[in-house]
Amino acid sequence: MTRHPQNLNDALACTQEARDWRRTWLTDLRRRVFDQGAPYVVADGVAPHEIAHAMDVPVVSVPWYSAVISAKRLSEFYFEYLEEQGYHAGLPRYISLPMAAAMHGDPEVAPYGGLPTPAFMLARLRGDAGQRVMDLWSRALDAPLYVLDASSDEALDPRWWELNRNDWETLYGTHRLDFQVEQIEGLIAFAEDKLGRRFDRQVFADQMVRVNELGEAADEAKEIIATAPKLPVSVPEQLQNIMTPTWFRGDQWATDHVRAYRDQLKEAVAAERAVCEGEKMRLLWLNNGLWHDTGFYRAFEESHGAVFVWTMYTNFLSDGYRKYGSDPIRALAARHISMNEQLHINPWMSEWILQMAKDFRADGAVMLTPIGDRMSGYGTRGTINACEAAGLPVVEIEASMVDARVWDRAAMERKVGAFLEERVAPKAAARREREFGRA
Amino acid sequence: MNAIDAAIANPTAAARNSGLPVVGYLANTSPVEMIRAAGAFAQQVNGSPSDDTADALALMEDFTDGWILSVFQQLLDGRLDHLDALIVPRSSESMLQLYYQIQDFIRLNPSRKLPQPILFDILHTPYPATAKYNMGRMVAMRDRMAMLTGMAVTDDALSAAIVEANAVRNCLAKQNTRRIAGEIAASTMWQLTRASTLIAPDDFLAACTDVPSMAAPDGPRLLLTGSPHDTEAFHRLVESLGGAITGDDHMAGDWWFLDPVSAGDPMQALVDKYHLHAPSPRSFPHEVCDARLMAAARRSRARAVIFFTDARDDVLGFDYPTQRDLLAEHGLPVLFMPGQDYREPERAAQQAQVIEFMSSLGVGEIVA
Repeated sequence: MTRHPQNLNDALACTQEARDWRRTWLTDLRRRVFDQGAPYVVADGVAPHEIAHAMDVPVVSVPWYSAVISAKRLSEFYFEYLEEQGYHAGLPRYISLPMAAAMHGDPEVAPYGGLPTPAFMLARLRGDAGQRVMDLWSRALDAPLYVLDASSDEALDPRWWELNRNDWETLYGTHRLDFQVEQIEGLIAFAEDKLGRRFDRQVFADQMVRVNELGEAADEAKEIIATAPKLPVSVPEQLQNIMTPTWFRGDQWATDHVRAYRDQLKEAVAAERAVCEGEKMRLLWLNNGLWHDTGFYRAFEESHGAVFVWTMYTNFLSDGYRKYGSDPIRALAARHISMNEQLHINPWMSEWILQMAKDFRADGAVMLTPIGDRMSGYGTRGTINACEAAGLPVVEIEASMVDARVWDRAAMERKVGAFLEERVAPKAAARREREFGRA
Repeated sequence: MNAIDAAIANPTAAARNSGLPVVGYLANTSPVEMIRAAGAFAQQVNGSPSDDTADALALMEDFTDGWILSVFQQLLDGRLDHLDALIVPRSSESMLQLYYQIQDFIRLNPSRKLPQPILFDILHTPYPATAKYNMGRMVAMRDRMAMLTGMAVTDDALSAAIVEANAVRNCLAKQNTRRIAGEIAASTMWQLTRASTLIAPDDFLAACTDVPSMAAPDGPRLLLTGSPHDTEAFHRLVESLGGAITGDDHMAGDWWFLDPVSAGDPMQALVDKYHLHAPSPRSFPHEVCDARLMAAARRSRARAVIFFTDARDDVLGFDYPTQRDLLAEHGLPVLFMPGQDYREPERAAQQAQVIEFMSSLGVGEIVA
């Protein structure tokens, strides 16, 4: 792994290590897959990448490639291309970018010369739009597509995270899990055929153990962040240290990295290091990330002493991914069977966030309601209502996750700033009085 | 037509007066046969564009489909209190969101009495594993209906209900043939289709015996596809301009009555029907949707196609470019009308678009 100098803004040394790992992976991917034609798989974010991982085949995830296109400032180009083709402007944007790049097809324009044809593509048919995007994209790449249909729970136990690790058979229902297992067994046979490799169930079982260990370390890291007197690590660094291991779950590096992250967090708290020495207000960031402006997460530290302590990425790895049980395939089925729903359907979304507000001693929250991505916006209204009813003030901001053209940073800073002053500050002062005996 | 007109004017009257337990259902993928075989009255629940949905909007996102907001508003208003249950099929994300929204509302407001929501988790990928899963869901629905009404659902009762529902479908198919032949207007066909979901099958069949012939427009024959229509207003607009909508390829149109349930084991036949032969926004793969559209174009003998999508559409628009190109290969031009507001459609703009489109088809002067 090529090491780069530590970013001076980082609180933890492991943050740079996560970046370096990512860069090395990308270099390797470009060499093996793009240049040498090694097989790889394209999969959406809530599909079981584990099957390909266990066969030592790299996975390019839809959100990652979408973010790459966005980071290369090609979003506008591809959005305009889609509209020229007749795709109306109201269609989801985040998930459409890689499809647009494939349809456009010019390697001179696409990041890294465009994705070569994958061995296969993998989708969980969660949303009505997503299933169309994967279908159209697979046609553009001339790649075989394997889909997992998305069954639904009849009843949602509000405290899903308490059942999700060990009692997932109760939480999701035997009939749903039976179906998901059947679909995954079909995927294994499909993958073996397309890749010409054997799926080793012991390798896979070992990988599942490592994902649980990864989740345990992430849970410990979450507890350290939540209970520290002041926030020891910013949200952008949390994202680096959690999201990269999430994409590489099952790899020993991922588990080792999150353990190092946990240990460095412990040290930071013991040394009383804080992201914002003048911390006064603690905020939750609700819903998806603001990928084109992660600096916004730190915009209120100097001006208001306000820190974002939590996003859903902080501990979805621990609450959503860990699955214990004697049957690894069934455990894998349980991991992805309702993954998006936990984050975007109430009461699953709202009750989890209310619990996080308690755990992280939050004084308020900022809800991102995505523009141009309805699937990611579901659940936001009910969650805002639930938070407000529980006494947690929420301000809603509308933004695209990937399209910076519709983001007015100054206006959003004013909106959130006013919210902090008017609604959060009094609540935060009362909390500090309770916790520290002074406001 | 009196029974038809009455049903359109008062969609819940037949259900309320039936003296039976009433089970509401959404869309064309709920098994009405199962409801009736259990001895209940089956009433389709639809959106109404004239509804003020302020209460629903306080609880659901403002990008929610207009018809879903309207249905939720009707539940909150008590306009659907006569329902003993409401079946919500998992045939679009919007419907699934409504199901969970109703459940969560009941959880948070235990003193409020809303009809019991029942999820029909019907899936639409065309694979054997999906068919097996769907059979399990159909069995669960049979048990649920039996528990609700206290009447066991026998195979004989189910077979009889299938015959009854197929009679309605066949009747509508015959009326549709008349529509294609220019004997009845598209707005009338919309009314017949809607009424058939609101009144008892026998009453509907009786009412259909005297649907009068009328001079339908003799202008260009158009296929309407895309978002569903909860009123016949757009059909009337096109008719007023001399156009003839001879096919409705959408959830509130021909999808309702095409493909009767096949003969044989009634449970298996119902699974086949709602798994593979009841179109939905989640039909997969999309070659199936493309083929369905082309079949609709042939059936309706359309000369052109109107692709009409709701302002909240984030799904059907993905189908448009492929289907536009496919239709063009067969010489069928398309008018694309995206961004149509559910509650307050801009009729003047619609009219201008339709006039321009029909003029481009070369049919002479358009009546404005």
